[in-house]
Amino acid sequence: MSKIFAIMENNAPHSFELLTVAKALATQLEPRASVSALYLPKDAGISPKFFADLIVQLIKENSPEIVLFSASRLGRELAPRVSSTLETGLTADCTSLRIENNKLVSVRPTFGGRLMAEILCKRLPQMATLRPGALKITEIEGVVEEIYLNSPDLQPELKIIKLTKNEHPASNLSEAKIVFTGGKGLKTKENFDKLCELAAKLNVAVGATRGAVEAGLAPKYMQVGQTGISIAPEIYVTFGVSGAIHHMIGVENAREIIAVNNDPSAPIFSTCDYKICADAIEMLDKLLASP
Amino acid sequence: MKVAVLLKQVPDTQDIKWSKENNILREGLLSILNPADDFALEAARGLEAETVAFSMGPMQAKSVLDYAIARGVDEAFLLNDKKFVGSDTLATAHVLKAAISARAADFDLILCGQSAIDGETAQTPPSLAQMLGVNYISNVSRVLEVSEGAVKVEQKTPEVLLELEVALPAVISVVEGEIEPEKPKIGDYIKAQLKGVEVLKIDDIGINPELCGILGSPTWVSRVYRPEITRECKEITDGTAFILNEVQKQIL
Repeated sequence: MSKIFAIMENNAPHSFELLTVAKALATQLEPRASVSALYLPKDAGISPKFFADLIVQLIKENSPEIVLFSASRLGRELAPRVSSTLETGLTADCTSLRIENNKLVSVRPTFGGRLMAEILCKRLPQMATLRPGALKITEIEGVVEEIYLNSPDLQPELKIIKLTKNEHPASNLSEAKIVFTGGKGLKTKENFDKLCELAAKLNVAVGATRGAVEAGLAPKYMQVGQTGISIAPEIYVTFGVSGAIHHMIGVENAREIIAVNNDPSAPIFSTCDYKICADAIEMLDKLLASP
Repeated sequence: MKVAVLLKQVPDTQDIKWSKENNILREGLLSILNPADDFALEAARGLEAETVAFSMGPMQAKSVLDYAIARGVDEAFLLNDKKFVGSDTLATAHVLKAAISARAADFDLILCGQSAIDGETAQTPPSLAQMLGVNYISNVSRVLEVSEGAVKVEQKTPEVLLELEVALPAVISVVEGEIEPEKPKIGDYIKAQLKGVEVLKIDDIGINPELCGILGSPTWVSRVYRPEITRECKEITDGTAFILNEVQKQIL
């Protein structure tokens, strides 16, 4: 029976997205494949080479058809170590994966989100890293074999001298149910601060477009889109966002998108669910003034 | 101490124009030094070390190496051979490994940009580290200190800021910083012209042809298209009430 390996990072939400995808791919393979979830320990990041070598060994013993990692910081460090040791191919930061002719088709944005590329691999295993937030977690039936990776005498390859957690309004962006995002249309930092004030009042998260970040309205860590983070909130509300494709790719899986823009021909009005043709800054003032 | 800097010439993805048939117009497309690589060069400049720059690409990529010499690197190599064309990240890592082994085998540190703006895979540096059997750190915002046998760096991710130390030799990927690196002056370019870039062909680095180019690349692009996202859109007249109501419904 053919196998799919999903490399899990503890209890990270993106690891369960990965498992959802692995299970879906297993049902598309002919014959149906089984899924093995390989759990990395919490501190795997300090011994990346050790865990890469351990995964290589398990791949050699089990010959899975497909090996998937999250495109998290750790996943993007480990996966290339594994694929290069096995002399096989790896597709980075995919937004969707499917099976066609019993082969893995890895789909990813490229050229700054201006192009989508479908990539195939000529060797086995076929490997990919999956972008966190690119898919919703759903319950798909099927038993999964669980393998816990560890070693009693783990040698740290790098030393952590200091760790500072970032506390900022966007630190909960990836898990937020509601996100308000500001674009270049907000024009000034003062207007963007109004958006932050409104978000704090309503207890929702704040995001920014690349345009807003480049214009100095918002810090880089708030950036949503192909070059920022991908998110899948229940409700996504945009203020002064034109709807560039590299931005919309990052919120493709939002359940509901509401767009406020004063330009009736803005591209975002063909990629949202609700169109509010109004001045975004005035709208912020009205929302702030309402009880 | 010896530092190798890896550079890539990329098309300016901010400047893309489309043909009527929905293809990227490559003619007249500006080629630039990958933005993050400039910060890798800057990090190398801050170290008291002998520096060597490598770039794989067409002959026109020589210009990013001229720039690197003007920015102070001691030697620069362009890896150019028709057998390298079409390399994916695995094949590219093989070519770089062979070139480093041939011309900078005694390296202590390899610096490169976190990812290139065209492919955005960030896969070549960790693949190279694995092939060389050395440590690797990604997302480095600052190289803090290089001492006997170890390097201290600051790693920046959206969640945490870390100060890390690893043993040398190591490969380090550098992210773009806030302050643009200083541009070279005309005198620096004159010096660069006198020094010159050395072109290395497949025989100069002694790599098995089966490991590079299309032959050495397990991945291939089966289809490329412009992304299209469409949703059915309803127009709302009272925006304020609608937004507040939708938010309320979700919170309750």
